[in-house]
Amino acid sequence: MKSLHHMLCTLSILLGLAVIALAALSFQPGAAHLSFAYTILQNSPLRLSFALTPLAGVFLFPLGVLGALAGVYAIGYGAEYTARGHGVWLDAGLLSFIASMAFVLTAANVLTFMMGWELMSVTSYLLVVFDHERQDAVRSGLVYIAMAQLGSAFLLAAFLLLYVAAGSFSFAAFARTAPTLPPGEQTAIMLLALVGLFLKAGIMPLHIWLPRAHPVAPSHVSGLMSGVMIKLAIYALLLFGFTWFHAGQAWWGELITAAGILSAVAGAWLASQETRLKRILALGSIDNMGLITMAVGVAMTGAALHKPVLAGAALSAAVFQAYSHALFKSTLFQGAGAVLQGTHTDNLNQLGGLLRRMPATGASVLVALLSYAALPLSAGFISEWMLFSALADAAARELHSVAGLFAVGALLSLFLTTALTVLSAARIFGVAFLADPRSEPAAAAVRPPLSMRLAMAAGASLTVMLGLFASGALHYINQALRGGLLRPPLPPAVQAAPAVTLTILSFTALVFALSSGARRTRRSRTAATWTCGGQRTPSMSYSATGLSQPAAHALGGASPGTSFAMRYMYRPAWTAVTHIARAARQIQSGHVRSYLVYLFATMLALLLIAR
Amino acid sequence: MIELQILSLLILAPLVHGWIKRCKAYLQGRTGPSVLQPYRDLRKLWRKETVWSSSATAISRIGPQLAAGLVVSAAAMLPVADRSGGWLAGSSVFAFLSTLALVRFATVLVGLDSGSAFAGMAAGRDLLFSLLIEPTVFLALLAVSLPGAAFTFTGMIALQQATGASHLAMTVLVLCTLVIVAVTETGRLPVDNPDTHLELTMVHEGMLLELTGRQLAAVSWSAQVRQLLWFTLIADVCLPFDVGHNPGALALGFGLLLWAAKCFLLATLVAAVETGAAKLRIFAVARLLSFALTLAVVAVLADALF
Repeated sequence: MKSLHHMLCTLSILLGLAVIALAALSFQPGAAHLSFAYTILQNSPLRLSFALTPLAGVFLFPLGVLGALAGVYAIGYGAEYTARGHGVWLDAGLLSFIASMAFVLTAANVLTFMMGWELMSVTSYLLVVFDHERQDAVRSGLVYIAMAQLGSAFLLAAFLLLYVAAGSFSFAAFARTAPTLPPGEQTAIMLLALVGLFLKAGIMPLHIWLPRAHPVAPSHVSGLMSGVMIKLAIYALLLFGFTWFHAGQAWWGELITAAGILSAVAGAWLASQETRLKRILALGSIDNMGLITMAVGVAMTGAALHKPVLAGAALSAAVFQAYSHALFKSTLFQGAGAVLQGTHTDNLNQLGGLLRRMPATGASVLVALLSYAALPLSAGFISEWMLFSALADAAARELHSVAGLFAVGALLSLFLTTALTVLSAARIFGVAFLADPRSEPAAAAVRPPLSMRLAMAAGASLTVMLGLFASGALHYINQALRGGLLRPPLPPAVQAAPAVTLTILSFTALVFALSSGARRTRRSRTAATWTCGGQRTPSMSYSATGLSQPAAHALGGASPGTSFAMRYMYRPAWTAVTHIARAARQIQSGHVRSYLVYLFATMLALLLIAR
Repeated sequence: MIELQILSLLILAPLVHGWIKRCKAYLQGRTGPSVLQPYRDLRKLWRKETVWSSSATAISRIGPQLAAGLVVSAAAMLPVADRSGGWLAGSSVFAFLSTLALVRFATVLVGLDSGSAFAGMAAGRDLLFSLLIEPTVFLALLAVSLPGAAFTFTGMIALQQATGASHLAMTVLVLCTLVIVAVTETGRLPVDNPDTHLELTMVHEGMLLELTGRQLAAVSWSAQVRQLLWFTLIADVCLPFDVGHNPGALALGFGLLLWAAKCFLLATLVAAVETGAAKLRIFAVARLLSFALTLAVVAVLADALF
């Protein structure tokens, strides 16, 4: 059993490495000809077809890296499940989850894409409900799979409309036909696709599955879902928006920007008020997807207005943000998994003092949190700086038009979001890892096994590397994005960032050297934290709830909460569904003969229509 | 000559702090401590022994020094009397404000590290203010830089020198916004009372309660530098006279003098406000900051419309 567990984890790592190799291959000049097709049934559209495009390569790369890291992490994390006897299924699920995402990215026709897409939804559903003895996991999984199926239906509708126009299921044919369609039809297809993709990306108000499903999945799977799976919706959005429709009409981009703005601010706000670590991270994904989406929207508007440099800057910022989010979020989820396994809770208010019990986890989490909060010395800082430059440039160039107004709105939401993420990051680290343990299990926290520490350390150091070598990474991203619509420049952020990082590091080192030198007169001792003379208890330290209480009190009424979407969208929709079901029950008599009559009537009707 | 600018900023910061104290004392009819008192305080702290909290981790040991290193870096990003910018000329407003945000993050973590309830209280309030402050500052600076697409301080100063007079309404709005921001960020009345350690007013001081010796000196000094940085920012953005491009030695000296004069003028203004204003309730501060945010939004709209 144990050897099988190790073998499957190794396979996941190897698969991850293979995907990285595939990504590297897709950047080669001749990669466009690397395609592969398999016909399932002669003279039918049942054909699997694969191709490597640079755009897919951009997304394959983080998939490979995160997949390999998840494989390493799974060695230690899955041990507990293996001991209970069903851990092998978790490993198999991880393997097929990674494979299905690679399937989506290499697909070159609708059948292949939808197969991969559905496989991805179903495997991730099975992984979400993996802890099926937990009631909330089953319920969350149900919401998740229902929403995923709804999204697939919308996406499939968009694909079918494209098929009718192009007369073929292949993506190459779509690219030829789509731009020539009448504007009304283009808009209809795009809107259908947007609903389907926003459902997958967790864009508000179609996000309600995300904060339910991501926290209950095993932690490395949560990391992959947040880090890569929801990014595939962005990949498909780029396919529709740029490769097929050539940015279409300017208001599409503005619509996408508006959706992104809403998600970014509301996601960040909800994250700053939540107390369960994994839920905070899941809500943080909504906020980051919002940032990415709004940058894609600005890029689409820019491309529609024939501003290739402006559009290119916004899009490469969006992709870089996706990279940094993928890395830091998977590290954070893995850190949350380590906390969960070490203390059996992820409620911040019961944790505390973990930095002393699990220093390696704490250090990795801190590095990832710097990225999350977009603070200097991190990749997140550079990506949000790029976002800032791109959006500010768009706002300045389109200052007197509607497009400029949307760019200013996007900037405002970027500023609000960064401030909110600093609050979230301070809560996560300050409450869970600092001060004293607030509960027995937290005091007895067990440090994670070597493989988990290794995966987290690798994720954290990759985040730092991405920040340090941003210009190298961006070179490849820009190369993939470059085309007639887009001329991404090397942004000022990337050129100036190394100097900023170096300055901060060297001045801090200087202060250190100054303050630790001349120890002649230095004495130090330890004393208890001052409590006005009383007996100190761990519960005297501020809790996560307390830390964000002033913000909740002052700004609480201002947030567009989930409750709004629940009250005006989901409840009415659910009521409508149950009403229809109840009405349909009238013809369900349960007698075989009545069903035979229905069959006969349906056949007759079909014959009459399709005569 | 950027090194000279940084040095003068770092060395003058405690003096400005002492000056505000002295002005306040004068306005209140007291003599007050010497303007050099902050330097003496820093020297005293530097020599004292360190008492670590029993809950303190490496964060308490690294955080204060990081804060000090960060404000020095921020000082290197802000032109004082020479807008050629030095080695950080390309770093934009975003880098500067993010560096200050990291100072805040480090200070908050240092506060929470001790497990002190006062630190938690202060951190929560500080983070609430930051939610309103950060968008406000960004928008105010955006309002200045949008008409010329200049998002670095060097570009912004050049833009203001060339066209500032024609955007007078916008500049005045930005000035009002930034003054409110500076008062909040430097922990002064009516937002925070720097003279007491009462928990009712505790915002910045609360997070430093468990620090001693050199760590306290580093954080106190970085707070003083941060204060001067905000004054310099206002001077740069709203009153950018005589910030030359690669000035000669004489012009640079004159520019530095003028900068010091502008900063001491702002310091006197802050002292006057602090004497006249009463402390606001914490949640009334949120209202004041929303007002500043509104001003900044109006400033950006003024750009878009004219």
